[in-house]
Amino acid sequence: MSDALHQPVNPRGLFDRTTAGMKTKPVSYPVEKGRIAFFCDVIGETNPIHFEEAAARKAGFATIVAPPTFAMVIDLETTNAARRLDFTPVIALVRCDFRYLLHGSERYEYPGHILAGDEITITHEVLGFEDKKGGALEFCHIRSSLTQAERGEVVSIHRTFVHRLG
Amino acid sequence: MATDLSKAQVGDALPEVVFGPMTRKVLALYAGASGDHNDVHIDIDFAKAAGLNDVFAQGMLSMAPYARVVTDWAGLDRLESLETRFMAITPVGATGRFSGRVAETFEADGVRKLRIALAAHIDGDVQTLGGEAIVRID
Repeated sequence: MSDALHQPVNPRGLFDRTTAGMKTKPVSYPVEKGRIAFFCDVIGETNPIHFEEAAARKAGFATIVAPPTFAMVIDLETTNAARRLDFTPVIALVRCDFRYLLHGSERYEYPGHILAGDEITITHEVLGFEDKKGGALEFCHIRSSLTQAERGEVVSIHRTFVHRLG
Repeated sequence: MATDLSKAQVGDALPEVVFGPMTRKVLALYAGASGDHNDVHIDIDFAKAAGLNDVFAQGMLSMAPYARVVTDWAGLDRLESLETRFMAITPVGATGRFSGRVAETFEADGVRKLRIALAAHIDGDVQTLGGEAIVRID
């Protein structure tokens, strides 16, 4: 991604490219088993490891475990609570313009798992920006790290936001 | 539940997951469950004012059954990474079909792994998501 930091500036670009390399203030989110259950019910996930402690333990987890895309909930709910948590969310930091914004891609790495009862700390880093199709598409790359105090990084998210400017 | 991954071969198809229809109620519930409160998914007045015909489903809503293709087959404990590109929007009311196949077997840092190619399609054979997951065999 180092090349992305050194792209020529797109005159039509809307992201604030001076934010490349910046990190957001770490904020934390308490993972509740009720929220995991609600999330699973909506997405059609019925595996009991997400609902029942005994089933989770039998499968090798310390307790009820969140499904793979639950990491997004922690990102979104800390963003929704930015005022209360007193931080600038990454979408505001890089100046996402919702009139033109697309979600380009999403990549998760799982060095660990998110468990019910965890206090997860999330920090976002602006990796950089790039232009494609002669500036018609403007990309912003974000890496989000989700950590738990004893187990370290449990999930990381690499997300691409796109402004469609053409 | 989990499959014996040591027997997996390139080209093997994973069992398909079907999810839907993604009704307005599902979109509204996912907004609440996920924390994605973007109006364009839940408020038709907002969507129309933004020049759209209707609300459309959150991309991350489809990424959940997309992930389930892998975790139902291999088990969550074997999942190392999961990636998708969002290729087309999913209109309200669509049903998604989520598929995967073994694309590669390889070894990294002494651990045997599988690369699983993943895709999501909606009615009319429109591909909405595409990407891959890596799972550990051992």
